[in-house]
Amino acid sequence: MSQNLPGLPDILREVRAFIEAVTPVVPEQDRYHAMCCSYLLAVAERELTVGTAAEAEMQAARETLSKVSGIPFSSEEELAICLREGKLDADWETALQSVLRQVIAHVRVSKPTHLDPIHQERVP
Amino acid sequence: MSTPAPAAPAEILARLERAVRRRFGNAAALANISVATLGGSNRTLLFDLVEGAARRRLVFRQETYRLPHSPFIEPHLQYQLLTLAARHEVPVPAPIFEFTPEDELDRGYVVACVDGETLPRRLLTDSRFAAARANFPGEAGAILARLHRVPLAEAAFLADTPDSRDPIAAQLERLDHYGEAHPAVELAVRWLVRHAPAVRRRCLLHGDFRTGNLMMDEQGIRALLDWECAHLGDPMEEFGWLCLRSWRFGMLDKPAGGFCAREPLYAAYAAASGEEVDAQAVHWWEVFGFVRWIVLNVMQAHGHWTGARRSPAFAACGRNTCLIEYDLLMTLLGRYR
Repeated sequence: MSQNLPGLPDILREVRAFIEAVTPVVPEQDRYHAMCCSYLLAVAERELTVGTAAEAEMQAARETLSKVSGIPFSSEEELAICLREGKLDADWETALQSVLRQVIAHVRVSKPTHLDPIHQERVP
Repeated sequence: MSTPAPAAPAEILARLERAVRRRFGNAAALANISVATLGGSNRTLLFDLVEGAARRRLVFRQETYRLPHSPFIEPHLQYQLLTLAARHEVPVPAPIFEFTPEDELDRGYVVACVDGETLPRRLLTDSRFAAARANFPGEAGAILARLHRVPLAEAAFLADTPDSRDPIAAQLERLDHYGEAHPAVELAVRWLVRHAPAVRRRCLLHGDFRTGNLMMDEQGIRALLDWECAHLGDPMEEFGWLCLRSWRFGMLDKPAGGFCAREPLYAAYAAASGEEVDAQAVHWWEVFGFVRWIVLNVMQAHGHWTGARRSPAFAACGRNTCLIEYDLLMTLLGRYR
């Protein structure tokens, strides 16, 4: 559904900017929570902008592993069960790379600066 | 199961005053009261116990919420541990008294307040703590050696906790309860199962020996805080947890809590205990530590989204689990050390 401007990312950015501006003057016992609020809003902003691409990346990583192992799984839940049951022990390296790829996609939403430079997205 | 809602602070203070007078006489009084935290599961107050001209700064710690499938030991066991550790000259806040039913304060205790600093950034970067940083490996090694020498029989009251019985099973049971799939955890657990080192011996472990839980002054460690995760296990587990990347607070080239390299800590421990640190076993426990830290974050997020104890900090824990998973996988790949 189309809404009037500003859009959601803009609204979140504005609220976050306000929280960041007032954080230094909020009572000390609330300051940490204010910082967490700002952090969470940044996560929400990224989920809106890169969340779909991150989901697609996770799905692609699972499909690659499915192809190599011959075990079909379409969700994190199904993959987790296969791993716990040891069904992917024989494809350890592929499984490790696939799970890493999925985790990187999560981190790109949560806090991309946490990634090692080898996994940082290159800005064109 | 949750505890009843905590009584209002005024009522809590009245009960605390009665509890204090019951033990120290009717002339005893409380003064200079401040609220340190009203966290997700504990209320912590600081107060002066006034007895005539004498004053002692004390800490009141009361459980306010019991987590389902809690990884934390109950306050009574924590108090027993503080008493045990103090008896063996492990630096802890001196235990003063434990609540009894007649106190009407539910579960908790009072300990001595230890002055100092716990904030990791200050401890790791402020020039005021330069000597403390230099003393860290020797002190931490000696303290851990002393703790790990506590006769196992004296800590037998911890033998039946899930983490003492089977640390991996304890994590998986909790993760299953929180109901969220984490393939990175499952992958790491498979690695742990297939690479388990032989346990050399079992001993009493603090279980959360890390930067942030050490009360320090300019000279070094004054007290080990937060004994909620204590259990029995392999002494190498303690080193794996301390060296976790998460506790380096940006000082990534100093694996021992952001204070120093591993070697001087291991050497100090060996000198004090006569027991060499097995670096390979520590690596295994580090991987386990990541799993445990992820599950603890999932737990905090679970408390938030189920509505049991909502807070922005607990919500952030949920979105932070992938950061720990990333560090875990990079460690498994040998890229992070």
